[in-house]
Amino acid sequence: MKKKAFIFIILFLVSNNLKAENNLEDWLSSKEYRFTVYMSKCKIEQLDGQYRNCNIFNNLRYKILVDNFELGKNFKEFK
Amino acid sequence: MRVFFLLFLVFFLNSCLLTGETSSLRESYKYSCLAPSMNYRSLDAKHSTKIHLVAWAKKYAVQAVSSEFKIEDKCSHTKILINALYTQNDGSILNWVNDRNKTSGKIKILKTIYDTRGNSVSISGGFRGCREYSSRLIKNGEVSDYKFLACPSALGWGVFDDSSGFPIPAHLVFAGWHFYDYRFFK
Repeated sequence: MKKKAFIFIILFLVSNNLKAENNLEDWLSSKEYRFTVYMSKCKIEQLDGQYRNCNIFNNLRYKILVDNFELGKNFKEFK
Repeated sequence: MRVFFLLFLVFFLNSCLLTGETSSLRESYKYSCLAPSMNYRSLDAKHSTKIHLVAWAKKYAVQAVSSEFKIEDKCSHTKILINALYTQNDGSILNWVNDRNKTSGKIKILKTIYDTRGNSVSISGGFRGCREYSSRLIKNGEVSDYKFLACPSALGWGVFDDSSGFPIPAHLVFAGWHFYDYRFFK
């Protein structure tokens, strides 16, 4: 009886872990994950020689910002 | 008793004093699942090291005894956060649900701060391009609400100062955003 209970607990824990890994796998293979890693590293050199990150909200003027932001252009173009 | 004390000391030194980061935060960094509300206590403790040492010790103690969301939930929340910040209009809500862990989360974009004149001199007080958002986390029916300001660049002098006149550092710099805890605006 003890042996069965022990096996049941082990199987339960393993299946739980596998499901958690599936969710993690979904994230690691997602477009959002690749975009996140890319945006965390991406830097652009400015005219003054300083570096800023590549966030589209950084430099843009109102109209451009609205256009891109409404379309989600920066995100959608990333592959 | 002595062994227990030594083990505790080694664990404590290993977990935060030497690295300044908790193991759960290191895991979040590893998988890039750094949504600030999901890692709130760890980030808050780390943030305090830059402001006030007494608060730092207290916050480290608090985060050490707090239960945290699992990494899969942190990643789900990070996924909708990135999507919301880069693609969603003001007022939009994105959410996720994990039935197995009985957890869920929502992100609502509240406001975007524009430079309406469209020139390089900001009239929005240095907040140009910043997005205000709220984050709701639910775990076993317990609801936690957070509010952050995500800015494309660091907020400078005179914009976001503490009582001593020093700029408050961002809670987190991640995925092209500087995240500021909204309670500092009160």
